[in-house]
Amino acid sequence: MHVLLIEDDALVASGIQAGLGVYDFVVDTVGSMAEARSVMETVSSDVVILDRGLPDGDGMTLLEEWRAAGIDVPVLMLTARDAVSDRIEGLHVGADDYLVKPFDLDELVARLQALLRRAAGRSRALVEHGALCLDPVSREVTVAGWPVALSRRELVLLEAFLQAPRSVLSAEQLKDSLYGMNEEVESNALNVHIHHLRRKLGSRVIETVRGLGYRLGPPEAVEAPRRSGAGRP
Amino acid sequence: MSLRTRLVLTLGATLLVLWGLAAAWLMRDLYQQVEATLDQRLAQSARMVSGLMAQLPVEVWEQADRRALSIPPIEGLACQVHSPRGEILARTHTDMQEILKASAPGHAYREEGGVTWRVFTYERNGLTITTADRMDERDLLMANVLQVAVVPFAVALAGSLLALWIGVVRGLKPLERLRDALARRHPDALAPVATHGVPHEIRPLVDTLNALLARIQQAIVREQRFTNDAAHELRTPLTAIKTHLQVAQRVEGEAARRALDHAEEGVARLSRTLDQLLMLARVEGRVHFEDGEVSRAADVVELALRDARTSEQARFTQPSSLPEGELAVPRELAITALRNLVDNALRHGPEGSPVAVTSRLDEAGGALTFGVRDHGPGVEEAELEQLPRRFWRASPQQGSGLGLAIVAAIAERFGGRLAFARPEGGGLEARLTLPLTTGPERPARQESLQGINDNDEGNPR
Repeated sequence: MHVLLIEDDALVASGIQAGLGVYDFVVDTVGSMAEARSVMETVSSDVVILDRGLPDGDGMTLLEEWRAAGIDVPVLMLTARDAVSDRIEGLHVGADDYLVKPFDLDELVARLQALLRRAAGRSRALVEHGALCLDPVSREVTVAGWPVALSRRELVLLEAFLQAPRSVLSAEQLKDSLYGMNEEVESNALNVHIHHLRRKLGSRVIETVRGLGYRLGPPEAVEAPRRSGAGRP
Repeated sequence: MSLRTRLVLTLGATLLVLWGLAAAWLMRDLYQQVEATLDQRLAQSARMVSGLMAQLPVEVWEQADRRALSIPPIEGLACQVHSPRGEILARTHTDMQEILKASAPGHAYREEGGVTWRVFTYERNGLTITTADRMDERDLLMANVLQVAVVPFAVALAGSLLALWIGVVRGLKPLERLRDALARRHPDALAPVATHGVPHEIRPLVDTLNALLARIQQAIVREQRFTNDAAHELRTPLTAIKTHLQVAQRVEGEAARRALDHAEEGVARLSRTLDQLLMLARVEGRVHFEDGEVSRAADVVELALRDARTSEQARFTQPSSLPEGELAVPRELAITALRNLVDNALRHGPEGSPVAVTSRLDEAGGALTFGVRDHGPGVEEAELEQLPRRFWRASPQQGSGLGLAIVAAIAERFGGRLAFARPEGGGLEARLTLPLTTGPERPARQESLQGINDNDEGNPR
């Protein structure tokens, strides 16, 4: 999942980035509203973490701007102000959640997961697709109860597909989910990861939409991995 | 005692005393007047009898010698006529020999059988006429007169007291309304009190109250902003520390070590902010700073530059000469103030650029102004005022945002001044004016300063 972190304090930003990295989030950090605007135009983020106190103004104005422009990415507001009126104001303006500094890393992750779940229209913590089941917290994937070993990138890619089960995702969008802005990406890396996912979960689990990108296959396309000697857990 | 009670008591007592005195005066005059009138009537009766007797033929007198003329008596008034030889010629009462006996002419009091009489003796043509009035009759008359006079008097007095009470209560109504309005207010409400319908005597009071409320409101807003800012400044490094520590628990090796380093950086920042906040609180509070150290201007400059956050002492240009005088500011604080200015200049000037420290004695020789100039981007004219504001920063993440606020607080506490200017050629110049002690008088001045401080501590602010 791609997170856009808008936080002007470098030390806090590096902490959040490292913390979310542990949970396989891909984080891009910007330190001002101006940078946030330009990143928002070029990168598709699944969720935004927005600090209120930014050097070029109150993060709230940025949120108002985005909501007015129809950008409805889930936004979690971070602030050092704990007055109830501040929280209410933030939620009124269009924040989806609100967290007061200092916060617990686990709580931040849980709230981000909840935002992503709500954005995808799910109410349960586990993501299911046919026989496939993904636990976003423990990072485990099972098919019909059988654990499937996926690499970190494969897991993130699968998560991106499961987040938008009926949409066609462009290669660019998928790359944003996989990599931060500053990461070097090999040109065929995405193809390699998709190939691995198809091999482990079934060839039709990810469909290619010619000229547009990729889409999650129908639930019945999920196949249990073939392995010898493995018993049910 | 309430204003109303005091007014009613004072005015009521005054009214009672004045009316009482007037009544006593009136009664005395009335009594004298009645007595004089009755005395005159008594004398008039004697003269009348004398006139009548003079018209009687002489034989009547002679007959009378034998059988003493008797006149039917009137209750309370008696009369007796004596011949020149002392015989009684005529009398109204036969049982009043003693009272009516002839004596020296004029008025007199006589008593017999528990009854007092007023007696008038008159001599004319050899006849002596005595007339007498019963005093208790007179007293009865007097009592009747008084009764007639006192009732309206008492009614008028009672009416005045009632009018006084009503007048005082009504007159104090606006005060009472004001009191009720204040009592009904929410204790935290700082909205101005309504001035509508307030009499002009109380108006200044309400206006002063409203001005005070407005000032309190401003102070609260300022404090609120400071609290918010302080919360932000303390929570941000705390957030960094907490997040990095949690990361350190979840990762291993190099990443964990890096997270711990970051956490430590956060701790350093937090402790710096706390130090600055405490320093600000100490300067703004009434904490005692006298440490017995003499704060010579030259020492202050030297120590401030040595403590500054740089290893490149060559960046400084120092004042060519410094006055021998001592600053009337504790040395620790003078150094802190100047060092904060120098740190600020180092931070905002380009890498390696010079920072010029100058000093100038004012014309009267009573204050020394330090100038600290950098060659950084400077500050907009409109932002010069903002510079000493707590947690205001020219750019993000530079310092605690408290350095200049501390300098301003030190200057303010010790009667100095902090100003900023945009010198020709760019950059920013901070001018810190600190008062000087005047040489030989120093010990005396210090004692007085001590006294002031002691007083301050004695009076809770």
